[in-house]
Amino acid sequence: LQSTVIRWAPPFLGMICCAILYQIVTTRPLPDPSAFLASTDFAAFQAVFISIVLEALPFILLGVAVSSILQIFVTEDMVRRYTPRNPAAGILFACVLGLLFPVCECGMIPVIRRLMHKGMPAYMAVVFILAGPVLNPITFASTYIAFHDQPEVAYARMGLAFAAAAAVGFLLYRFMRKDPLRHSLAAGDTRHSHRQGGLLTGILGHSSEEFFEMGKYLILGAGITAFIQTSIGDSLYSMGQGGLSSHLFMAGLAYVLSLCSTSDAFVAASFSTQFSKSSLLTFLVLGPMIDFKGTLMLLSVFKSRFVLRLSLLTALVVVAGAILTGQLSSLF
Amino acid sequence: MNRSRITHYVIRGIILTGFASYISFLSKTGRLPGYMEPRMLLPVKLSALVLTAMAVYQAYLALVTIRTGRQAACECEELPPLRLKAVIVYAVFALPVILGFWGS
Repeated sequence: LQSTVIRWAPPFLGMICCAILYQIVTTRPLPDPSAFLASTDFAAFQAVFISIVLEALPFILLGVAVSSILQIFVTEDMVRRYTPRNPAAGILFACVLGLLFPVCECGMIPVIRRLMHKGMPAYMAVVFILAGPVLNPITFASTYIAFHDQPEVAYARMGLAFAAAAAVGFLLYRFMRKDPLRHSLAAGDTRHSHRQGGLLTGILGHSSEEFFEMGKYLILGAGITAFIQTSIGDSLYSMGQGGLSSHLFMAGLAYVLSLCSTSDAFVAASFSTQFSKSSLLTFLVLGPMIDFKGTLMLLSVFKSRFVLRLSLLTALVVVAGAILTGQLSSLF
Repeated sequence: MNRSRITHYVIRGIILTGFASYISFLSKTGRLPGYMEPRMLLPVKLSALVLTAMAVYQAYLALVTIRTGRQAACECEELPPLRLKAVIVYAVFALPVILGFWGS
């Protein structure tokens, strides 16, 4: 022990001396964290952060509850039996399948993998991944409430998501030749049975599991959003009125934040004073379709080249669609 | 294995209780309307009830695991090992509750 003290004490004391000398030379007071925490910036950050989290909470809970109920009651066989053979009908079917599976994209990838394993064609699966998180009743309700004085945002969100997903689906059906899957899907049914009588506990169990799976993205996203808003909110205002730049910023933000589609409307609504409505539409439609977290999950199923092309294609279609919608709505 | 499972249940139960009690704290002190628009009040209060139910269920899972020594939930459940990553995730969840109680 003695030798260790002798070995490390001089450099340690030397470093302390340097630090004290530095403080003396610069005569700066020691940084005081409590001053920052008491400042108005922090209070504003706290208010925005808590408000986004609390308002999104009911919807994320509803989402995980419905998804657990479906996971227990609706089997993949039922969906497969009603899958149409005609490609056009199949794409439309995949667009509205989200009505049956109102879950975020995080809950979607496992469902999709199972459906493809049971013979669903890849282009339909992709359409479902794109459309499902937006075109469902919970997302509509949360958007409608978040933009309570501008209900047209909710309708535009649904319409654009439908159009964009269908367009991407047709392009894939027309031009996709190679098998996009990473591995040929190995046999291995992940079905599990629940004990009789354990229905409520089954729902509660799945729900809390999914809540902890998805909630972290919401809380992180709310934190980053609150930080952006309270630190550079003013400079965002000038950017948000620009044409293409506001769309690109919102698309990038949606990709990085990776919010759940059931709750992202509240984040978007907090930007509504600074950004144009059509760029918020980009955020609301592109975010659930392609984002950081979704890319990671897509990569576990599809080849990376396919994921890259799909992401670029979708981003292009959605941004073009949102700008077009903005132009059209300004005509009337 | 069981020990880490029980720790997960306990931490989750505490976090869920924290969210639920923060909402009821704001509601009791009349500060809830300051954070949201009026029509979200009822859903948020209801979600406090749901969170409480989920917290009770986590406590139940922990107790069953302690007493019988086997997992009570269905086998599809996957709990990550209690490493740094899991700790960070739980810290993220605790953040709004801590910030909320601290700021008020």
